Amino acid sequence: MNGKLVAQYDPSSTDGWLKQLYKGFQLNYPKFYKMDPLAQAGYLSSELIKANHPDRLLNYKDDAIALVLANRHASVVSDLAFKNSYEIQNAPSPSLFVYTLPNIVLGEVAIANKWYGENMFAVLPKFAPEFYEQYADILLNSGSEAVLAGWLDITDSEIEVFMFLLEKSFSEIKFNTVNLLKLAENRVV
Amino acid sequence: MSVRITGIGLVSAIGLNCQANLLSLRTGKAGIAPLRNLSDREGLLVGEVKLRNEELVSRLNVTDHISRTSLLGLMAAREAWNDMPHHSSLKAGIISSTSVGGMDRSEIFYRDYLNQGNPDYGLLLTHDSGNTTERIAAALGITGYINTLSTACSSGVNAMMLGARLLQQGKLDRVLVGGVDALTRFTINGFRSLMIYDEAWCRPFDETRTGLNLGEGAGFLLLENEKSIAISGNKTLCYVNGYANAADAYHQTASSPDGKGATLAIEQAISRSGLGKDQISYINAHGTGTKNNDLSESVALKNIFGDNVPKFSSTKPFTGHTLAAAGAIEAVFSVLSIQHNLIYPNLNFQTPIEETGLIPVTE
Repeated sequence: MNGKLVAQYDPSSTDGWLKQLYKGFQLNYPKFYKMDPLAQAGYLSSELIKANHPDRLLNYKDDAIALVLANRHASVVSDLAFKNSYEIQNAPSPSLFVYTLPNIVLGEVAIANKWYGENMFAVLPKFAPEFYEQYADILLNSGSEAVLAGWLDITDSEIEVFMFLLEKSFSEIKFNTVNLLKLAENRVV
Repeated sequence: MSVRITGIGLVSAIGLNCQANLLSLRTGKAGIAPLRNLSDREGLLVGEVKLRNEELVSRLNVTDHISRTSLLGLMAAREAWNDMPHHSSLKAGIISSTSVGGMDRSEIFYRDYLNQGNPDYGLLLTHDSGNTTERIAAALGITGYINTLSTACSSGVNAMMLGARLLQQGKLDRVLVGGVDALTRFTINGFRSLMIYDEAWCRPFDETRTGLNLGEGAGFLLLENEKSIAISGNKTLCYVNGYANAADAYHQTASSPDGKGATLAIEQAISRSGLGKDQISYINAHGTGTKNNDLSESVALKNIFGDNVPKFSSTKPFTGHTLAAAGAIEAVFSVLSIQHNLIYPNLNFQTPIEETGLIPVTE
């Protein structure tokens, strides 16, 4: 978090990495357990950013915080789980089906925070800083005060999460594609 | 700035063009009937377009693999476009929306794939939602701006909203906007698994309602600016004066009991239009017939209008819930409502919802 190590994977735990984080951060949102890994990752990373900027994020109006997320593999983990539920178990599960769209993570973050602002999920071939720059530029010039943005790519073998907060009237690092790429490459999350 | 609506087109369970739909609405002739076109679900109550694919193909004079979704969309889009010639100085576009895309063809592919191992892979080319729009665009010769939205049941009106904004921003001079969905096993089984498919005829806004009947069809509207009508000579049927969308931030698939999202959207749309609430004379409601939607929508209407809720009704008992097409079909119904000074009856209503007590127009 902002260059600091805030959690470390414990290979001896029976919990997966995302559940370890949830417990480690002492969060209390039971709905977390119903979410698919993509939504869990979005929820956890947004909570982490909130915890780091408690005063400012809470002061925005509920429709002034926009969400802009993207990834490469869409909702593939849930897609495969749902396919398994009807092909192998012969019982299609509505609770899995709900997560067979990647933009559901936007809904989960919005629901957890009661945020009514703009939101966008894009499926891109790879991390594209210019996508965030252009999209955030439009949002911050059309009513949004802050943009919670990120790259959330989850497959069965890998969890790649990079979340960042852009604010109209507050800046620690200048927002441009060069800086964004540098942060992403250095995994300074 | 107002946006002109200069053309409309409809295909639904109650008619294959605007005139036929209007006649059914006027005479109270509903389109909900036992399913015929999907063999393994025969008998389920749906709002089916009363033409088989082969009949649609020959009427529309198309070739190759094409989804039922594209066929229905093309039929309504042609009516709205009305043979308008293209013009090199006008920027034209199409924004169509769908939730199932070419799923009807993919289901045939999948069946063949499992059964004989020799499926027609060409069918899969129609699967993508964007393909439905591209087929319609190609048939109408629209080559500039082609976009496809898929936002479930709000798709059709989101297409309208985006089209209006592109005109207002001067990005386009004329744009065909709308939505289309065909009945598929995918959606029928999906809604049944959510336990919100009524085996009986749906009863929007009624206390005893237990769910929706799915339908299929398409609605398209032609939006033009002044530069475009100067060349097309089209008459203005109606104006788009206000629009808004908003989120509920409540649940992935359910509306909030306090109607927050709908309240925000209605408030902002009216405010953008500059009209007073008391100037709204009719609300064509979404009214799907599910417990959740109708309650949430009723609460939103009360939030906005208090004790003075305007006349309102749902046309879902005529057409079924046509998903991505619903907003577009009902936008065309609303244009017809203004043109002909008509309010459509909310069929099957008997008892008001206990929590809100709202009574729709029934005749």
